[in-house]
Amino acid sequence: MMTETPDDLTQTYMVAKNEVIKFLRSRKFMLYGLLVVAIVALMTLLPYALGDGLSGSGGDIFSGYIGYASLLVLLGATLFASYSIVSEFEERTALILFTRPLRKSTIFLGKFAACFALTGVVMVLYYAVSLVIAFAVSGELVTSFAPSLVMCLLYVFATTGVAMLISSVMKKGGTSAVMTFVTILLLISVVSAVMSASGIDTWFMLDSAASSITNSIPEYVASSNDLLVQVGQELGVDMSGSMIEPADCVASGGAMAAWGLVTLALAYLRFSRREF
Amino acid sequence: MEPNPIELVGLRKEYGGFTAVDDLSLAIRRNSFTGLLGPNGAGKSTTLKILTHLIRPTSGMAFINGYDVSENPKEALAGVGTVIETPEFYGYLTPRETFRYIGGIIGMSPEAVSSQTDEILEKVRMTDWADKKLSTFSKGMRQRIALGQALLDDPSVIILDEPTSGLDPRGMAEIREVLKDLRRDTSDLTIVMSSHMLHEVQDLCDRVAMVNHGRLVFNDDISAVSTVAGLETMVLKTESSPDEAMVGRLRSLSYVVDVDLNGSDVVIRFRGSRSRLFSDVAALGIGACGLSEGDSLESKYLELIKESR
Repeated sequence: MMTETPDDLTQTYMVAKNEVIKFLRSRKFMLYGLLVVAIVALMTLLPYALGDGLSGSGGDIFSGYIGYASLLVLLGATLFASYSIVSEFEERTALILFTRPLRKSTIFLGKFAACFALTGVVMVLYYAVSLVIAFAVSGELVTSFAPSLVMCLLYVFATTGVAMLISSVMKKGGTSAVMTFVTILLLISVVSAVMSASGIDTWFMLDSAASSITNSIPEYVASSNDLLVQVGQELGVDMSGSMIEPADCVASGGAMAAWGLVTLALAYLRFSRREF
Repeated sequence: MEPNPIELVGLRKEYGGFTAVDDLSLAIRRNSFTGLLGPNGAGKSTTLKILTHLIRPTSGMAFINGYDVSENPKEALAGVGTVIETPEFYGYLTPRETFRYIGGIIGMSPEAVSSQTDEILEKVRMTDWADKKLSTFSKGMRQRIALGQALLDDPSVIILDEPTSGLDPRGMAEIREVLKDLRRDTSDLTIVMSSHMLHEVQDLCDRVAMVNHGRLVFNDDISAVSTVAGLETMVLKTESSPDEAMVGRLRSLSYVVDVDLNGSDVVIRFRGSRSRLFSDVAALGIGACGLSEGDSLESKYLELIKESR
């Protein structure tokens, strides 16, 4: 008697679970974990080693850590999502998985869910640790973290989409990882810079939208602007044009959601047509 | 009426200007073990990849149990075990974990997977490796695990693309034994297997489908191969080395279709009775010292490949 094939959602969960196991048992995850721990350790211990220690309000300390959040998200996309599709073809595991009774959309969704969840969970933990450290040092509980965390998770969504799009096109996992890193860190920034120089407001570009991760923290905006004013006074330069605006979370969040949706749709189209 | 477990209808696959599969129509009978034969580039693997949803046909349709594989892969591939080429496994998993993953995907309960895993690993002689990481396995070991995972949940259709590829002679023999046991012990099982090895097909299969240049050139019972169109093959041994003159004299016999020299053997393909050939060969006075039955499948294969060239 033939067993009944599970529904798509159950199969998506199984694919996602296997992907998470794959990442958790890989050196990539160990490397990623070490990087996160190294950043937290350096940010926390180095000031004490240099004699000053951590100082400032809870918001200042917290935003100091969150300044590295977008880089950690980028690393997550590079180490996990950029390999997710290409590895099935490069390592020939598609011959086992794709010949089973499940839809390509199920495989795609499972892989996306795993990549998003893994980086997302790491970032939530990073935020939690940052909040705890800020509280421990300043005695203040930073309550304004939620918009920043939401922006961060939307950035995880967008970068996962970009990485999976690149992964669906590339033939080698290594090339896919390098291309993901270069595209998000360099190419998109170059395009933004050129557009800005041409007088175009680049709020919809991924790098500009990602700045909302820090700019949505009021303490970060205030202390950054204070610093700019102070530097401007010392140099005798008017810095009013360089002042940081508080993030427009709706616009930035919408832009990142659109980046994620469009790149994921393109990645799925490419993946569903890709032949072994 | 129940549909054929596998049916290909006007299947065509083009890569740029190259046609890998060309209007291929083939029905695989229920409970048959069909050997898919053909030279390199004949379209065997492409056909099996279309059947297992790894690639899409340019035109035509491939059905498994009545479902179009391209349109309804989930329904079509339910109850189907596959081994395509030499697949790789997730190296971070053990065979037991791999079976649990695949079993879950196809809907088996963890208990059912557990109870079948030991049995299957025993069958493919990999019991001692059940809990070792697959990244440490040799190609032959991975091929055994590949066959093992194809047997999960007692599939009604098994599709094998050169399943003994990469195995040493002992491994090949063991895999063949597994397949023979399966055929013997399973009441509802249809197997399609592509292979380069004619003796393997002759040993295992009861049906043969031959393809060349992407087209079906033969599809029948294996028992029909030796007698199809009344053609038989005999191998003649002579006291002296055979030469072209001897070949010419044999060819002069009206019912002899072809004569080839194969080392010190003379391969004769003919229509008609063997006794007539025996007496005529003796009468020719060419120093015949033995006449034995030739490999009919090989003979048929070469004949068809030559004809469709």
